[in-house]
Amino acid sequence: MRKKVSLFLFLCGLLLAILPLTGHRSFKIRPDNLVNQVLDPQVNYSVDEVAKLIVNGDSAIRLIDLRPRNEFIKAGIPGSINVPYEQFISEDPDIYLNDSKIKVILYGNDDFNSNYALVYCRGLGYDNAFVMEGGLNEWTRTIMESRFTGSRISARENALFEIRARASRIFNEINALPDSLRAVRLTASRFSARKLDGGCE
Amino acid sequence: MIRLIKKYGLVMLVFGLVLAAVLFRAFSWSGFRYDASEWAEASKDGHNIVYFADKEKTVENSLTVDMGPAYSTFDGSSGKHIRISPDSILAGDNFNLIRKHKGPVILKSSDPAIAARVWMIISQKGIKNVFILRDSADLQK
Repeated sequence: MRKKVSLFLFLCGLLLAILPLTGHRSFKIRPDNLVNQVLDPQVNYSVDEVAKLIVNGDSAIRLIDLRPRNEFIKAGIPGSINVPYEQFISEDPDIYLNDSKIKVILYGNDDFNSNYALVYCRGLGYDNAFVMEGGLNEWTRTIMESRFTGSRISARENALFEIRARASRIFNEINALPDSLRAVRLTASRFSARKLDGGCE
Repeated sequence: MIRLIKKYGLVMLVFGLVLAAVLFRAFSWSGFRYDASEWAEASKDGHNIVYFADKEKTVENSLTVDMGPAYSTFDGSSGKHIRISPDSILAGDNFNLIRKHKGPVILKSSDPAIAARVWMIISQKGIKNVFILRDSADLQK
């Protein structure tokens, strides 16, 4: 009898302890661990790195545009999906981050919403969340408005500007298309980019 | 009494342990225990941002947490100023200072990404009234 009462009370207590977990989503990882994670420069992707991934048609990344829908319709980075920040924070992020092999790169117009979202995802235990530094503003400055002004260009700079030019071209081509054709065009551009890869250095 | 303890000792011990666990979970500051979405709410509409020009929120009882090189244009408020490195923001004394402060806590960093990350962490620890100080010049970039 005593054991049964003990077991009953234990289960009641356990239920009490677990209830707050099921009632809402709270950050899972230790605070000090979270601080270390989000201050690690490895969570950042520069716009040049993102441009290279796009040009190479890397399928192991997923870009999430956190801007409002009306801004995304006007222009967005090729291959990105639009989840406005308000929606992203309200929903279960597992929808977008459930595949740990896919790196999810978050961006907004600037550094605010993407970095809130980064901490939000990392806090909930998703190690595959990353952020594009500077957001679309930085993308426009560095990739879209990129011009070489020097007299001699090194091989490294040439490769960098080539990537920027190709990313810029893809960006313009994709955003000039109607919504319904964007996805189709993107798949085709990935295919053609892969065909061109390789060859002599 | 001794008889009672002998009879229900095991029950009381188990119940006491569970109660202690529940209380620890409810009042411990060592982890995150709030609804993540709810405590990120202020960031949705930018209510957590104050601008240099906006002095209404930088009132006398504010605590400005400087997390990097100071803004040269910041003319400040008459509130309290402290300098904390972002990586030690949750260190015992630093966090207690923020947690116990009565009034708005204003985060200041030359890097908006760092300010945003620290804001989210502090908010998820259950601190309300935390703001990010933003230079209006950032908007023009």
